[in-house]
Amino acid sequence: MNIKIGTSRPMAYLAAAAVTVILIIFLYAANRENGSRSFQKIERESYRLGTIVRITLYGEDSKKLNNALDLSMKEIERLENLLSVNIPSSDVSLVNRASGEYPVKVTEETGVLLERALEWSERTGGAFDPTVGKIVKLWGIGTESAAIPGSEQLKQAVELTNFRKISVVHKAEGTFVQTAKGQRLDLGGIAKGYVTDKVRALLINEGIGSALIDLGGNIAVFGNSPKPGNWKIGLQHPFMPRGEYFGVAEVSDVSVVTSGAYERYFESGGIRYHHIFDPATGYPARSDLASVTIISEDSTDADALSTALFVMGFEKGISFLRELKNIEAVLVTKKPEGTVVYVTKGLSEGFVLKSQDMKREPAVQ
Amino acid sequence: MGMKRGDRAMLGILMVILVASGVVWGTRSMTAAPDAMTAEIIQDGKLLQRVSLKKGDPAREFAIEYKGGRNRLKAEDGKIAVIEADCPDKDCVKRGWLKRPGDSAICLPHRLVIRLTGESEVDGVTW
Repeated sequence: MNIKIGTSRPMAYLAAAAVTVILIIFLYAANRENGSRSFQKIERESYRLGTIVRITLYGEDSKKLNNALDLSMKEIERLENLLSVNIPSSDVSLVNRASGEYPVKVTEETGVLLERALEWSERTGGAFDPTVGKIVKLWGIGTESAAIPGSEQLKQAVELTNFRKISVVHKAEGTFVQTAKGQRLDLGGIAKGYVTDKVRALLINEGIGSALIDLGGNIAVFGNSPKPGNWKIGLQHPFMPRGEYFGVAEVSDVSVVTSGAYERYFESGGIRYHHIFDPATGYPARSDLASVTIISEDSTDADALSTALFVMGFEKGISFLRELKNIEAVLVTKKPEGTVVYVTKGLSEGFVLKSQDMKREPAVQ
Repeated sequence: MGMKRGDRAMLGILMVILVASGVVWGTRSMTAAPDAMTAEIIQDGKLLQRVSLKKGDPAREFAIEYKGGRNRLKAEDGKIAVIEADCPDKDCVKRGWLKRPGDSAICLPHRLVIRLTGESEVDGVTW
């Protein structure tokens, strides 16, 4: 008897273990199917802000998710009507039409965003400048009439590009903006980030727990990723077609914004002219960077900084990054020995290089 | 330990069942990459049509019009591409074949997005 009990005990344990494992597997599988029914993903896509905007929400209450999507799209439309340089009735257009003449009353919101733009202009020594509009218009990149401007015209446009000539005044009667004669305000380098922040705030306010906001490649995520672990955001490969990424940032509750020469450009005489201008020269920035990705909680900052760092180039960009707090970055540089990727220290574990044709340097900062 | 022959056989059978079920379950969840996929053609935020893509499908071509503009698409053998566009930048054509879940091609001038359904490795791509 004793012997028999002794030998069957391990058997019993093993059998129990096997049954448990099989049960867990079935429970897990059943749960996954069940989960997909109650936990859902609802997505909406639209053409706004001159690009494709896509908002993906996760949650259980489809009515709530759809309602939040409706409100988000309305919010984007509202902000586009305020900030777009291409809409004649926008705050920005009103200011541009009255340049050099009188202070224009704008919404407080436009005024505050403009002040933030001016603050980044100051801090980046003009690498970012919202008065770059004259230069942008002259080149017309992204439009049918894209062409290299005459040097006299360009010289004029560069002189007009000076953020110090803008004034924003908040009074009891409202917020007023005035620019110098001939200046053209263009918030293209910061508006998408701002809209991203506003949509995120709206969604959180609506009780949405988890979302991905993608405004033409400016991305923000919050809440839990639908898959285990952090959200995985691919960073556009600067030399490959749109949608191909060179690396993946594994992040949560941040915005990820990339700037690069590949986004919009035209070619003339075998030379490629891209859409990120150096305010100091009026030409597309001759950056030694192929792309700049900024990861920051605030998308407005990320948007402005990705543009500014691209214009600054690698050396200046890296030393500027050292002055900033809570800003992570991935810089792709073109070097004679090949393409090199630099990742800031705070992101070094959250970044995975995928591209075989790039080399990763040790973390910076 | 003085296990009996029958016990040993039982143990063996249990082990085999365990390992086999593990393998079956593992491969089922690993090889989620399907033989059939769907491409969604979205214009101006609206779903125009779904195109089912299967391995071994013969080539077929079709055009999507937009306010006088035009993109020609080609689907074959489980993949799809924009092969012709009359917009200035032709980003969508440069994109080439879309074949992995989540792959997408965008034609901004014609407000057109072609996206493969399914789970992609990433949740989004910046640009």
